[in-house]
Amino acid sequence: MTHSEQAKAHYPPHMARAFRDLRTGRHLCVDDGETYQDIRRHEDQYVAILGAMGYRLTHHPQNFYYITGGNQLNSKGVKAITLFLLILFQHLEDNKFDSDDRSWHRDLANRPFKIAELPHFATSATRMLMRNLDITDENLRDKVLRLMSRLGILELLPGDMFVFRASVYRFVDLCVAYAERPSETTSNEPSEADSENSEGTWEDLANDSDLDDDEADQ
Amino acid sequence: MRHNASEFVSFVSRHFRLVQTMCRERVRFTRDDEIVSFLQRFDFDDRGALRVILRMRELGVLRDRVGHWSPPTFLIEFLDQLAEQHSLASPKVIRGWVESSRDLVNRLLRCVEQKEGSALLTMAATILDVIEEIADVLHNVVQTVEGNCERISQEVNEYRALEDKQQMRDRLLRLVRLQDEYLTPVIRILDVNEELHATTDEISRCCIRLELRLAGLSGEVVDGAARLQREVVWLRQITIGRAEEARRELAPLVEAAVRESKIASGVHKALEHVRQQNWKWLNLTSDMSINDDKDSMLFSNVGIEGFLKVATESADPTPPQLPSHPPRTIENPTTVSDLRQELAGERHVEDLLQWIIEREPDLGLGPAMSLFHALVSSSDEATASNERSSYVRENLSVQAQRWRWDNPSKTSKRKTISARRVAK
Repeated sequence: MTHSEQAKAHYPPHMARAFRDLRTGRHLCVDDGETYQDIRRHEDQYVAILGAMGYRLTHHPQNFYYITGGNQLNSKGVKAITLFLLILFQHLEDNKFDSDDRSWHRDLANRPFKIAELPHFATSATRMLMRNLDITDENLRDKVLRLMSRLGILELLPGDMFVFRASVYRFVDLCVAYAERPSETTSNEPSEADSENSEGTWEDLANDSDLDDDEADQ
Repeated sequence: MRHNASEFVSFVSRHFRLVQTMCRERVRFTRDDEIVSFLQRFDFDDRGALRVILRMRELGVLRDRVGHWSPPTFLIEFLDQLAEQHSLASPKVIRGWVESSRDLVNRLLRCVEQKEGSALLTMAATILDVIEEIADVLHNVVQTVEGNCERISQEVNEYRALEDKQQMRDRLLRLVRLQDEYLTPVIRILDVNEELHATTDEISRCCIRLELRLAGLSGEVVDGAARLQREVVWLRQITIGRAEEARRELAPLVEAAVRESKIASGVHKALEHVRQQNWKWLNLTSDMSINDDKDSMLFSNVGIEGFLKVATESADPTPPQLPSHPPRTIENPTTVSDLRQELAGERHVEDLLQWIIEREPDLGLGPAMSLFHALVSSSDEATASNERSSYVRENLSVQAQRWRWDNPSKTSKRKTISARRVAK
């Protein structure tokens, strides 16, 4: 065996695929099959290899992986996803006593959601919040849901439905963090005016999506 | 309208069950016939119900809210706390039982430590009394814990059966309070590292010592001690098991409620800031960093090879470079004429090829042989001998016939001089 073949034999077998997915922002969970299992089996190696390249691999307690440290998704995309989930979480909390469980966050990643029944455009208040980010009920699927699908936060299902993946709990943790943060705290983020140039455009987000309609509708 | 406090309390006292049920169920009556229907559960006829309804409104037991009648908040809270105090024993009560059992154990220890067996026997009646008292206290602990756990299970079941959202919210808050203020402290008291466990261990040891010391002397005390020791074991199993069971029922509801309450609080705060366009507060760059390294930035082998091929072919060829050292002078090669000219000054050369090799040190053996062949072919002066010699130059070696060179002009000139001398 040559030296390069020997070196290759020691690398995790699915490293190329995992690396490609992770660096494009995808959150990998058990639904990602062998790629996820490979990281789980060789986690120390992945941490070392990715760390040497400037990335930080995070293993979330809900059993999914993601990396940070490279180029970040533009702020418009992150805002869109965050606002989408904030409004949804509020709706689920307000209506949790309608379900037998009287709880919503424990089975968040198990229940399917119908796109047509989402609350984001049900009231003028929520419509306005979404419109501020140029999101309407016509472009919600393309601008938000497909992006979240690419990032492994949800999976689009046939029949205009979707189901969350484990990585949605990253946003649940974010909300818990907000609960503990004083309302008046200001962050180190640049002001709204400063961040306009780095927001990116919806065209950028549309080009980011590598889903075909056919693939999404399977 | 001022309400008479004394009449208020009297009414509540007289119709305690009715008022307690209205408060516990968080009733909201939108029409009078709803109130009449409710009162019929308490065996009021129509006339009596109307009278009670009127009185409740006069005294403020039912107050007019926006769109409905309901008991006042202070009355609901008061009756809730009253129900808790009298249906659930606080952890302090259980701790009190544990402390009194410790005092009793100390008394028992003092008896057991009597050195004289006869002295111990005279205290048999006292020992029996203490054993009975300890057993009573242990039973109280068991009943109190069981009672609390039973009440908590009932609360959980009532919560699950509720249909009104507001009632659900209120009951859920109550369940959270039950876990924090009753169940968790009781489980802590029962923990293996805590006082009750140490006390029951001591009881067990005392009972064993009593059985050993009074075996055959006082059957009654020995039986009492053995029975108490068994009850201690039973106590632990029952109370700990029951408390854990209640915790398993309550904990998921409470944990989910607490966490979702926190999530809801965070969502509310975040949305408030979003409404004010204050995205900075959300700090998404740090707290929700999502990687997005574009896949298209990677080169593929095919692409890069194609590019390099085109780049190479398109590049201008580099001009030839001049050597850094100047070229040396080119010497004219040695010819046969040169050799003949030089040989003209020689009278005789014994080995012509050897002479050429020595004269041309830079010439290889092959070129030397060529010159030699050309010379002997065109010269009468060269004659072959019968001898053979070996000629070596670098890594080549040749075996060849030896040729001589005799210069006839030199030879004939000498002959001419000699002939002249003779002629004289």
